[in-house]
Amino acid sequence: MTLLPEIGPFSDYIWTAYGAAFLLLIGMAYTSLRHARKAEKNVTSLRPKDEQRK
Amino acid sequence: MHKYANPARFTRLANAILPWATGVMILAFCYGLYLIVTNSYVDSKQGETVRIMYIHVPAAMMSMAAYASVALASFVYLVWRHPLATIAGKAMAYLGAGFTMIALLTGMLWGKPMWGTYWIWDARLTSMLILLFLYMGYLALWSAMESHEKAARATAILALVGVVNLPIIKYSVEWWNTLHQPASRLLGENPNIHPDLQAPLWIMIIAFQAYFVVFTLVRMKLEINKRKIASLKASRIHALSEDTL
Repeated sequence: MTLLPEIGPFSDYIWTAYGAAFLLLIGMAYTSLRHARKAEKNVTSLRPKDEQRK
Repeated sequence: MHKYANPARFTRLANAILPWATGVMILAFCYGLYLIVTNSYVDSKQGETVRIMYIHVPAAMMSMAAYASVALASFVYLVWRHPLATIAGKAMAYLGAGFTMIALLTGMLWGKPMWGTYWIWDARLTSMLILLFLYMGYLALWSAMESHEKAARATAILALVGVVNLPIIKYSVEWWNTLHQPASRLLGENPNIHPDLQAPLWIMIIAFQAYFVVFTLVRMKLEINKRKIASLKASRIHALSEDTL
C-alpha cells in the first residue's frame, strides 16, 4: 500500500520524508516567530508611556 | 563573553546577525532543494531513495550539535552564572528536539524501502530515541518549575548528564552490530560518498545550520522579552499596591 501517489521518479517514501521534515521546520519557525512578535507587542504595551516616547 | 550578558547589547547583536543568517538560510534551502531535484545522481543500490539522505543527515548532525551546544550553555551557566546561557540552552533545546524528530522520521521512511522495516531496536536508532527523550525531559523540566533559578539549575544538570549519550550515538555503529550503516566520511582524502552526491548534501547542511542560528536568536529574543514582561507586570503590581496604601 502506498502512502502517497508516485509523482515523477520520486517514490512516496521520498515525498513523505520531505513533507514531514519541512512541515516540522516550517511549524517550528512559525510558532517561534508568532510568539516572538506577540512578546514584542506586549513589552511595548506594558512599558510606561514616558519610556515609550524616548 | 560577559560583555554580552547585557540583554540589550545581545539584542542589538542578534538584530545585526539575523538578516544575514536569514538570507543564507533561504538561499541555501532554495539552492539545495534545486540541486536535490535536478542534479542528484541516482545511487546504484538505493535508487532514488538516496535523496532522503539530504535531509536525514543534516537533521541528525544538527540534533547532536544542538545537544552539545545545550550542554555547553549549561556548563557556562553552572560555572559562570552567565544569564544568557540558560536562555540560549532553552532556545537550542527546542530546535534540537525538532531536528531529532526529523532525523528519526526520515530515517524510518528511508529504512522501510532499504531494510524492509520502519523501526528496529538497534543501537543507533535506540540512542537517537533516547536523545529525543532527553530533549523532551529538558523542555518539560523548564515548564514544570515556576522558579527560573531552580529550573535553570535542574535543566543544566540534566543536560550535562545526558552528554554521555552523544559518544554512544556517534560510535554505536562501530561498537555494536547495527542495521544502520557505519558513519560516512565526508571530509579527508578518501570520502566514501561520491562527490556528485556531496554538493547537495553540503548545501543542505549549511541550510540546517543557518536555520539553527536564525531560530536560536529568535527564540532567545523571545525569552528575553518574556522575562521583561514578567518584570514589567511585577513592577506595575508593586506600583498599584503602593498607590492603594
